[in-house]
Amino acid sequence: MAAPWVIEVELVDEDWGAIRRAMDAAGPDVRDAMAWLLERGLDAFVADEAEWKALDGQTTDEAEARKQELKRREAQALLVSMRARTIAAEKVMAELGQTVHELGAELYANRRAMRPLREENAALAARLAVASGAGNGGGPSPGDAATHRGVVGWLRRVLGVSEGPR
Amino acid sequence: MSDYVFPRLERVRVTVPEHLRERFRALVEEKGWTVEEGVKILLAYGADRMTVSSMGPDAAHNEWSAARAELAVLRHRAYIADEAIRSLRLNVTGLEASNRQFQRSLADQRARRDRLREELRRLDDGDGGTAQARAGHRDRAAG
Repeated sequence: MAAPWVIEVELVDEDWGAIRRAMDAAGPDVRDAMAWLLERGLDAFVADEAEWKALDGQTTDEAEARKQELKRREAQALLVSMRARTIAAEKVMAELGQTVHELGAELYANRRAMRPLREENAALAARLAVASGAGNGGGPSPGDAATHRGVVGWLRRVLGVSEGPR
Repeated sequence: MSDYVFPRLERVRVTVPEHLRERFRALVEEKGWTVEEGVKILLAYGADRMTVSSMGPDAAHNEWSAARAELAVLRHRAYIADEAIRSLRLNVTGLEASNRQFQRSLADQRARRDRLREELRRLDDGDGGTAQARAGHRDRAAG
């Protein structure tokens, strides 16, 4: 025996109500009313398709009325599927819109937090530079000298200039 | 997100009976539906046959026209929603990356601030408070 093939679908509440009412017609002897209705639907759909083909080319009033009814049935069934699919997509869209809004607010808060921190750090670094300079007699700090050597070396490499005699 | 805005969606699990599988699969394939669409369409088709009594051609025509118009609107809405979802997902990815980067940068800046404060404090302790005083004096002079 094959494993059960279970398919999960979403239906708009109102459409699900109509399907549930139809399932009631299955009676108490039917174990799975949903599978029963699925089979009824499949049988009816296939029979209507065959009838549609048989009516093709017939233009009597009776044939036209019949074709109209077949088109109605198909359109109504497609609507049930499309309603649920559209609502589901719009829900996802709304949820994502909310997420984007929240993430945007978080980004704004981050930016706002960053600016005073950078300014404070710049001010602290400037004070430290002044204070360090005062502490070692006003000359460049060892860090400054290292930075200078690094920049000069990088410029030489970029410009292709070899290091000259010292 | 609320039911006031959107009609409620019911999640339904349908077991396709073993004896129906081949016919179901063949029809779904022939019509170009997904299996989920196939289940919804066939359940609705069956329900319509069980619950809707036959109607005259005029009524059938009116109902079909209305259904066709609603289908066109729904297809357009679904298309718009799908496009928006694609764009919003890109936005979410970008914003999440930006916020992650900001969190790292903020942590770095806070660590740097603490380090700088500590260095200033040590310098200050080392020469009896004159470094900070001089630095403060020069800051004010520069300002």
